[in-house]
Amino acid sequence: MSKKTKSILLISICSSLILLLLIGSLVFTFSFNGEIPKTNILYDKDDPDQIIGSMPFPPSLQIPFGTDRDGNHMFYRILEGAQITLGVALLISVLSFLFAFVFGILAGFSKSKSKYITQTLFTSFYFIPQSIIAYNMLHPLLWEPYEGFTTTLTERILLQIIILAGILAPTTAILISSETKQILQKDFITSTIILGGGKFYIFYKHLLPHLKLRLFIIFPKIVIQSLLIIAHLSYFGLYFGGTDICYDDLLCDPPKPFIEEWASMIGMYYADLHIYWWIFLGPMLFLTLTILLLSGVSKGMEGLLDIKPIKHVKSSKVLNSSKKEQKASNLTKKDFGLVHRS
Amino acid sequence: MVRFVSKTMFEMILIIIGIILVSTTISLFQMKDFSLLTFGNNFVTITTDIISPQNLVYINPISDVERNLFPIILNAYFSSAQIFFLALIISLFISLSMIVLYFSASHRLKKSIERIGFIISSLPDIFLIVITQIFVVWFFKQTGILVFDFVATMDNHIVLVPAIILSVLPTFFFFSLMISILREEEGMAYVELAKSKGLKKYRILFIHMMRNILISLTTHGKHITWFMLSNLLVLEYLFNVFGVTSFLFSYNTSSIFTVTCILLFVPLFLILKTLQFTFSQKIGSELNL
Repeated sequence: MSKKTKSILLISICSSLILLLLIGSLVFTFSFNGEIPKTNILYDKDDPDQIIGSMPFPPSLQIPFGTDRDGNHMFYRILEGAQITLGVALLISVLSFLFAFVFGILAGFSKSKSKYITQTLFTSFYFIPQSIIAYNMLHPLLWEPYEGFTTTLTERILLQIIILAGILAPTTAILISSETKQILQKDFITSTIILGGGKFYIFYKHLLPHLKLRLFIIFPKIVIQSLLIIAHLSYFGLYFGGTDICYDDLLCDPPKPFIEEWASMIGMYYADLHIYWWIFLGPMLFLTLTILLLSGVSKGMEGLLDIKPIKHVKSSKVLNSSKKEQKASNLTKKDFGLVHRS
Repeated sequence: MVRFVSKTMFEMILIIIGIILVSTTISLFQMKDFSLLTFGNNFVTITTDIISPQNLVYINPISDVERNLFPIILNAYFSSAQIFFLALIISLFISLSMIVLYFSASHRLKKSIERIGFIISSLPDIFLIVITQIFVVWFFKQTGILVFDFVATMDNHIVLVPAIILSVLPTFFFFSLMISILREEEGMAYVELAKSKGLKKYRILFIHMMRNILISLTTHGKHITWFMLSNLLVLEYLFNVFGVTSFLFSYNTSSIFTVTCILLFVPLFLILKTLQFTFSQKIGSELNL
């Protein structure tokens, strides 16, 4: 198998698995109304009156991912959460990618001194962990104050998506601008400028074809980054869409999320890790799997980029074929013509 | 030399201004007041706070005790620095020994090593941390031996375990990076010359190729610090280590946030720049870290 088919196979397998997860989640929600199966008590097969266990159940053959404390099957909860987690991560990355693309290309084209200054200013993003910027910016928005939220859930979700996209954009923009700068330094760009090509022409005809594949490598990495930031935030107690905190002194539940999705499940059940490990590990495994698949896509793209346009032919083959050609064409006197000087 | 130092100083000041701008923006979100006037005011307040850092106070979020920031942050700072640099050294050491193993492996083994390395290097940090914790508890339940304390308490500082966990991802990152650099180097003319001279395989690897590999590795320095810092943050939070990252959370003021970020940034930046300077002296071409 050639490297090209291998890379294409890797990309298609990984991306179709992610799509399958997304579609499965949507189908489950819309055609089965998202009703999560429940098992509260298990009875013995031979003796129906004998109770052999009660919730939460650890993973078994009948219940592959176990149940949570209320007896809900974890697998269906994870499936239902997939659409939100994946959808949000994709939305954040598309937004931040657009920001980064516009600013990165503009920065790559400009040659002024101010560009050096802005780029160095943005380098500070490399030395502050992105999750902590996100935490500090989103804490007033997502942590329920004593008086209750003044914003609605949709407002919070939209704001969170925009803010996270803004936080992810600067490092990507720096990356795209340095890629652009590298391509613009090539010889063929110089000749295009000499021949009178405008900036937009260079961008559309010369830069974009070279940049396209690199952008496809960068995009899955941004999706991974946004998934990780959402997960980190819920470890720190900020669930996606807001953290519901109860301030009554009596009979209070621990802070809980408004929306069912992987990251909030991971953050919420981390405390249970050493008692009911499966409740935590289910969503965590799915998140890890998604991240692995995404980096598989990115790896496949890298493989496509590496392929050299010149095919290397084995030297023995070359020799054989040239010998054959010699045999096939017995040269005659007619093949040689005199060169007349005019 | 003088030109390099002045340029570095200029860059450093610019990045510090960048950090102040970031924390000013964060302070706007915390006050829920998005006017330019507040932005300017906050910027001035934070800058004056940084110029005289000995007056800053830190309020412990649990006990509400007010202390001066400065001696206490340095304790946390050194424990974080220990974890960070220990992890860096461990990961460099392990990845170098792995590259030697890889170099001597057969072609088929190389392929599978690469695949495993790729999978481990793309695992998320939180997954690794949790898996180690689960493993330690499971091991304790099975055998009664506690391999290590994985939650720090007041009088018990743990350094080695967080460092080992922090080193896992950089190790595999270094490893896969080194493999790709090694491949590029193998095709170079100087390697062919050395081979044709009859030099031994390992002599070429250690004496001739290794320095080029290490130099190429430092060009990714910024990226490495970036993801190691973000891993350190989660690690210290989950292991309950009293490290410098606990000063970054929003129950502190934005001035403390800025001071902590600058403390994190300055030594790392200076190390990167020193490496850049020594290497550009040696190989004669400019590296941009």
